[in-house]
Amino acid sequence: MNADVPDVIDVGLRFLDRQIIDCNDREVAKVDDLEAAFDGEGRPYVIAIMCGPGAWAPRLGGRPGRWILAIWRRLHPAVEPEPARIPMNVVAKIDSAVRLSVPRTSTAAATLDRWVDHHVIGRIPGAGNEHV
Amino acid sequence: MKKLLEVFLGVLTAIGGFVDIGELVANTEAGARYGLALIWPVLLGLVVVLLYAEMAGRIATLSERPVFDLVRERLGERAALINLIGSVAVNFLTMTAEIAGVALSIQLATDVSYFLWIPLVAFGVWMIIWKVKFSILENVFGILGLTLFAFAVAVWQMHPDWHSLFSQATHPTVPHGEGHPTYLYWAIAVFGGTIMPYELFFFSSGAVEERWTRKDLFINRANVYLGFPLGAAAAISIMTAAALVLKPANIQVNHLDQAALPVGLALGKVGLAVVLVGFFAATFGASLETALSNGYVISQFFGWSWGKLVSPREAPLFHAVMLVTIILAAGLGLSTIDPIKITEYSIVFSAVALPLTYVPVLIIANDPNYMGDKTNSRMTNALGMISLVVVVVAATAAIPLMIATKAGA
Amino acid sequence: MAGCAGSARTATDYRLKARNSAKAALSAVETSTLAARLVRERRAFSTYVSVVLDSAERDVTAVESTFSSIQPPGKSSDQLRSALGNVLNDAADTISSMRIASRRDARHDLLAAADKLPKLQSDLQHYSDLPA
Repeated sequence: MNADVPDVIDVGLRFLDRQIIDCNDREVAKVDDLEAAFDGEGRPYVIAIMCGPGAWAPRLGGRPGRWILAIWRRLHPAVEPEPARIPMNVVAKIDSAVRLSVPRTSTAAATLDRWVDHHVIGRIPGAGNEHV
Repeated sequence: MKKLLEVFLGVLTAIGGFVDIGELVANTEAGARYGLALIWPVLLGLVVVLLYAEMAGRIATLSERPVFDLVRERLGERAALINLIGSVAVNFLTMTAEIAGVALSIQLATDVSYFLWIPLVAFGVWMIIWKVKFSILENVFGILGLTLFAFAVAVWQMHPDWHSLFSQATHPTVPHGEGHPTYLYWAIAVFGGTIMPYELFFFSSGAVEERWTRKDLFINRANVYLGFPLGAAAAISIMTAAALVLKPANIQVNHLDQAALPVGLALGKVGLAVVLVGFFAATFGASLETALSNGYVISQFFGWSWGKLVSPREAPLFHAVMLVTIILAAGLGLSTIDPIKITEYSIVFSAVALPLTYVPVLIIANDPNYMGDKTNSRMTNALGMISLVVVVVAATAAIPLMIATKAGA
Repeated sequence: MAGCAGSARTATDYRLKARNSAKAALSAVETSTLAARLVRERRAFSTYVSVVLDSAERDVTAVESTFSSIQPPGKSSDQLRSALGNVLNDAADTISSMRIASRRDARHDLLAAADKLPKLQSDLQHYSDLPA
C-alpha cells in the first residue's frame, strides 16, 4: 500500500466531490462517484473513481438526475455507456485533492476534454503547442 | 520597492475595476430620480463586498483553491449545481450587458450604431482571453477606468452646495409623487450594481492562479481596503453628477449617453472624451472578467482544467465554455432588447443570486480544514452575518418588488 | 418610460396616461436642451451630440405613438388628446430637426431648431402637472 493513500477513508467527507489533479498539476475532473468492491471479510474497498455525467447524474437523483442521465446515454457513442473510470492504482496521493501519477489526457475522464481539444479548440490558430 | 509597485498597481486596478455597466446605468438613473437619497445602498454594498472579497481572497490563498471549487466540495453536488445554474445565468446576463456597454461607448464616440460594434467587441473579448497575457491587460483596463474620476472633477467644477448634498445623502427621503416600493426597488438595483457575484469568482480564481501565499495576504487586503472604497467614490460621483444636472431637469434616464451629459457640461470636450474612455475601459474590463468568470465556475464545478495563464490546449473545455458563452451573449446583445433593460435585470438578478456565493464563502472562511489558523475573527463573523442578513433580505425582496413596481417604472 | 399603452377606462385614467406621456416627453426635451447647450458652448463633439439627440428622438416618437394609440374614453377627453398630441408631435419634429442638423454638422441649424425647446418644455410641464 502507498503511504500517501490512506487505508481507511471517510468516503463522504474526504473523497466524494474532491478535485482530481494530474501529475502536471492540471485539473482532471471531480470525484463524481466511487466504485467499491468487498473483500473477503465483507468490508468495502474502493477500486475506482468514476467521473462524468454517468456518475454524478444518478447521485443527483430525482427527475433532473434521470433526465441528465438519459441525455448522456443518448449522446454517448457506446451502446451500453459506462461512466469514465480512473482505477485506484494511478492515484498517487490524497490530500486536499486526489492526485494522480499519470497525465490528464491519458485518463478516461478526459474523453470530452480530448474531443473538444481535437475538434474545436486545437483547430483555432494560437491554441498553444502544435497539434500532435 | 517592487512589492510597493505591485500593491500600487493592484489598488489602481481595483479602483478602476470596481465600476462597470451596472454602476454607470443604475447610479445615473438613481441620481437623476432620487438625488443622493440612494447613496446608502452604495455604501452598504461597499461594506459587504469589502468583507466578502477579503474572505474570498484569504480562502483562495490558504486553501489554494478558488471559491467555486470549494462550493461543490462543501455544499455537495445538488446544492452546488443549483448554485452553478443561478450564478452562470446572472453572469451571462451581466456579460451581455457589459459587451453591449462597450458597444454603446464606442457608439458615443463614433455615432455608428452599437449593433455594428457588438460582434467586433465580442471578438475582441475572445481574442484577448485567447491570446493575451490577461494580467497585464487587467491592469491596463483598471487604470484606464480611473478616468471615470472625471465625474468627481465635474462635480467639483459645478461648485455644488456641499452641505445640502451631504444632508440629502444622510437624510434620504422619497421624493414627492414617488412610491416607497419603487424607491426600495431602486435601492436594491444600486446595491446589486455595486456588488456583482462575478467579482468574487474572478478575484478568487486569479488569486489561486497567481499562487498567492500568506505574504500576499497583505496585498489582498491593500487591494480590497484601499481600492474598493475609492472605486465606490467614483460610483458615488457618477450618481452625484446625475443628481446635480439631470434631476433638476426632470430627465428620466433611458440611455447610456445621458450619463455623460453632466461631464460634457462641466468639463467640455476633453472631459467628455476622457469619460468615454472610462466607459469603454470599465465595460471592456468587466466583459473580460464576466467571460472568464463563466469559464471559471463551470470548469471548477466539473473539475475541468482551467486558467487564464495556461494555453488553451491545456484547458480546452474552459476555453470552449467561454467561446460559446461569448457567442451567445453577442447574440442576445444583437437582439433588439434594450441594453439598458438588460443591465437593469442583470443587477437586480445579481442581488437575487448573491446569497448563493456569500453563504458558502462565510461557511468556508470559518472551516479550519481549509483555513488553518486564519479562520474568521469574531468581529469579521459578526459583520459577515449582519451583511448576510442584508444580502438575503435584498435577494428575497427583489423579485416581488420588481413585479409590484413593473421593474421600477 | 413609454410603456403605458392600452385603453383608458375613465377620463381620470386617460389624464393619468397623458400626464405620464408628457413627463416622458419632457425628459427627452430636457435632454435635447442640455445637448443644445453643449453645442452652443462648444463643449462636446458632434458624434456624441448626434447619439444623444438620436436617443431623445426615439424616446419622444415612442411616447407620441403610444399616446396616440390610447383610446380616449369619451368626447371630453378628445380635446386633451389633440392638444397634447400636437405638443408631442412638435417635440418629435423639433428633436428630429436637431438630430438631422447635428449629423450634418450644421451647428447654426441645430441651435435654430433648439429655440423651440423652451416653449415645448413649458407646454409639457403644464401637462405633466395635470391634476388627476
